[in-house]
Amino acid sequence: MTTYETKDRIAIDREVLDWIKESPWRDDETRFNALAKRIFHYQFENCKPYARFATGRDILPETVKQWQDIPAVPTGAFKEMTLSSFPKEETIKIFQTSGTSSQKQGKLHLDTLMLYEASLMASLQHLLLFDLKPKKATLRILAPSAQESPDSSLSHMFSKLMDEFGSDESDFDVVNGELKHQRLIDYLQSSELSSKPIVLCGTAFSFVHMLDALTARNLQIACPPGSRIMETGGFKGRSRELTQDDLHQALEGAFGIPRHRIVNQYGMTELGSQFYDSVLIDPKGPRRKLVPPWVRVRFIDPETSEEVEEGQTGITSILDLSNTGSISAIQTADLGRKVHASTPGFTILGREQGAEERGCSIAADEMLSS
Amino acid sequence: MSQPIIHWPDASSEQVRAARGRLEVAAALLSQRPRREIVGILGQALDQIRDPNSAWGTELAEATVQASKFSAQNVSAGLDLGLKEWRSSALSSLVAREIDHVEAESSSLLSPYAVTSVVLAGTIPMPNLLQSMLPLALGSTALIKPSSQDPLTPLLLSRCISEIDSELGRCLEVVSFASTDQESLNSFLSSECVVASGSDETIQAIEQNLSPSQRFVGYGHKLSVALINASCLDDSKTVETVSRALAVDISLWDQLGCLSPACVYVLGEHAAEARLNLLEGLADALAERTRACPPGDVSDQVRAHKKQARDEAEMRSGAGQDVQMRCSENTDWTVIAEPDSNWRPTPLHRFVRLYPVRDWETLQAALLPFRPHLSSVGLAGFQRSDTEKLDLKRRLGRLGFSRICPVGQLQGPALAWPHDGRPVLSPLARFLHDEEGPSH
Repeated sequence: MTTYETKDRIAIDREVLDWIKESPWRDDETRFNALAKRIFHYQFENCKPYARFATGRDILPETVKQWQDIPAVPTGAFKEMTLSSFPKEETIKIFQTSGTSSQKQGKLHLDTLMLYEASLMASLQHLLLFDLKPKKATLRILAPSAQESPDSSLSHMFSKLMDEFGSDESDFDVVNGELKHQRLIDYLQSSELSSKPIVLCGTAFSFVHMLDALTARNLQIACPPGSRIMETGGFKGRSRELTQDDLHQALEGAFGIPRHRIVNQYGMTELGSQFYDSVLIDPKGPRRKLVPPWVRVRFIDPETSEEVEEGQTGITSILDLSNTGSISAIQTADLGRKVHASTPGFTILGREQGAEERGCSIAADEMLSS
Repeated sequence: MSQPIIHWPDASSEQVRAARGRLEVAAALLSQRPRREIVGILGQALDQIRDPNSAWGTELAEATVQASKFSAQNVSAGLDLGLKEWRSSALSSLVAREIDHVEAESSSLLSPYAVTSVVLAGTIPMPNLLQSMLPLALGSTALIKPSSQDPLTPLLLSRCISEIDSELGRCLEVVSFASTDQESLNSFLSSECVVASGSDETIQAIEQNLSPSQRFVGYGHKLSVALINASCLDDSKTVETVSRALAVDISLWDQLGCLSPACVYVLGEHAAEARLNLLEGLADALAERTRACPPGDVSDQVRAHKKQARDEAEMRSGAGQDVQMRCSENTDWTVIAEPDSNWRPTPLHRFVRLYPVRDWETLQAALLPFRPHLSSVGLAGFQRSDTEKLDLKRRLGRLGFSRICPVGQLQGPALAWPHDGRPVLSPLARFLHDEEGPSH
């Protein structure tokens, strides 16, 4: 049996990176399968808890014939143990899941940000910012920066996005844990006659706080044509809760941005890749999350642990090739199902009732409410 | 030609107002009736409903199966145990102790509220039955908002009472309206006394709608556990007995009631080893119990949560933690022996974790976050002298429990059990105190 060492990881990372950087995106099942098996082999040899977990299920690198055979780790396990496939001393970054002080927080250990950042930027560019030029778009971020919130993967993503894409007028509108309503309102009002699109990004509950601020001032904003909103995460009891449909309707009314330009992002700390609604690139098709070529999403029957039939609801299980340093195959607590369309995608049916609170929203909301 | 159906926009609030009006009329008549007579009629109704062979008992079981997702076997077993001791005599004793005795001893006179509003919650019929009945026992009429998950229990009680005594039957009105219907809610909550069960959020929301002068009695969600003395688990016969009793507690109402054990603590120096004996015994008992008393339907979300929790345990075991799991092939039941007393989320629905605790201090620390929410504790292996029993009671009381019972009996509280540590009737009662004393 081949032994996978650091040099193999470097080679794998290079191949995954090449794929991520390709444009246009190209799906390739053979390529995915080959890389997934190599990554599993590497992670099996370098992450002992994962190897024991897989062995307990009689799954070994040599028995894996296709990517679907690779065992997925439940997200809850990231709260219980370190799941990294490199020596501890090589850790350069730890992202933590949100949670209160009484809750255990999941941690993603990384020894490089290369794939992590390449993956997040590729999805953002393809699905949210494809028609905008770098440094020309105005980004207003309703979340703290990475400097203010260094453990947050969401803040890291926004900071990376700001560095690579933001114009001079771009800024973070959560500062020292406070959403600067008035400053953002002033900016948006002053931009109403501008032709430069604005990209508003933030957690769903931050947008609810913003909606409340606009309502209190009896204001409606007319954002310039081409503007868009990216919202992510849930509410987690941190603000009044709205369904996604109601939130989008309220955002449309408050910011003058049509619903087909309001994109929900589905992501989690444990993954390097994220999923964005299709509405911007396919406004006429059904709203669905699109999957980058280096990721596979499938839905599992909790009773049989087998993949559900097409269109049926199951537990969302994700294999993300960009997670080479951690574990690539992740099983979430979220229910979802595939959505058929010209470019297939999936939909998430809402965070599971009774599941532990998780997601990007809590930490930032704690700051907002403090 | 059929007549058009007209839905008036304020139909619900009008119905609530009308029901309140009827109750106010009924209250005048009710105030003329001796308490003993009223309690006697309620006792008759209770005896009929708790009899599984009576028409009322059968209807209650069938209605519960229909309205809930529980299996028929589970409902039948749950009602049998839950109503076992809820006899008319228990109701009479309760009234005698909490009302008659107070009147006799303190020169006080029960001065009933005209109308008591009661918000019911949950899927389990027993608390809804009792909460619907208590205002009447105090001489107050009752305006009931049933739980959406158990809409029939108060209606059944109303019909049963009406059959025995139509005048008393008119003292209980059941009204349904959406929780977002503020006009109906305002009308419903305008009684002098309001009783509500539900989540903490529900209780708080209701309380915010009341004035300080209104009497309010809220019952929030609670947590119960089982506590097993590790030393009793050395004996295989005892393991079998304890496991069977625990399997009853866990399976009844699919672990969804406030009296269901959310987890099991194994207490003692050898708890780590003893919990493994219990793991095997409880797995066997749950498998057997599930064959006789299958679980009800569960949502995909619950199944997903169960799978996630099982896989996480498997992962921790793989990582070298002393975690062991026994479970059914499907997601029907799961037992996980945990390595320590650190609380981990439980999906319930026959999913139980066994936590080892070396001593009382460790147990106290483990339960501290839940202290305000603790309800009952099912015990096994603590048979000792009277002094030691008293000591045990004191310890458990200090931990925050309001009820102790043997395992297997968690779902069968006495009718007079001081729910949440409070008397049953007194919180709903208003007394007129005569300072001149009995000779006045």
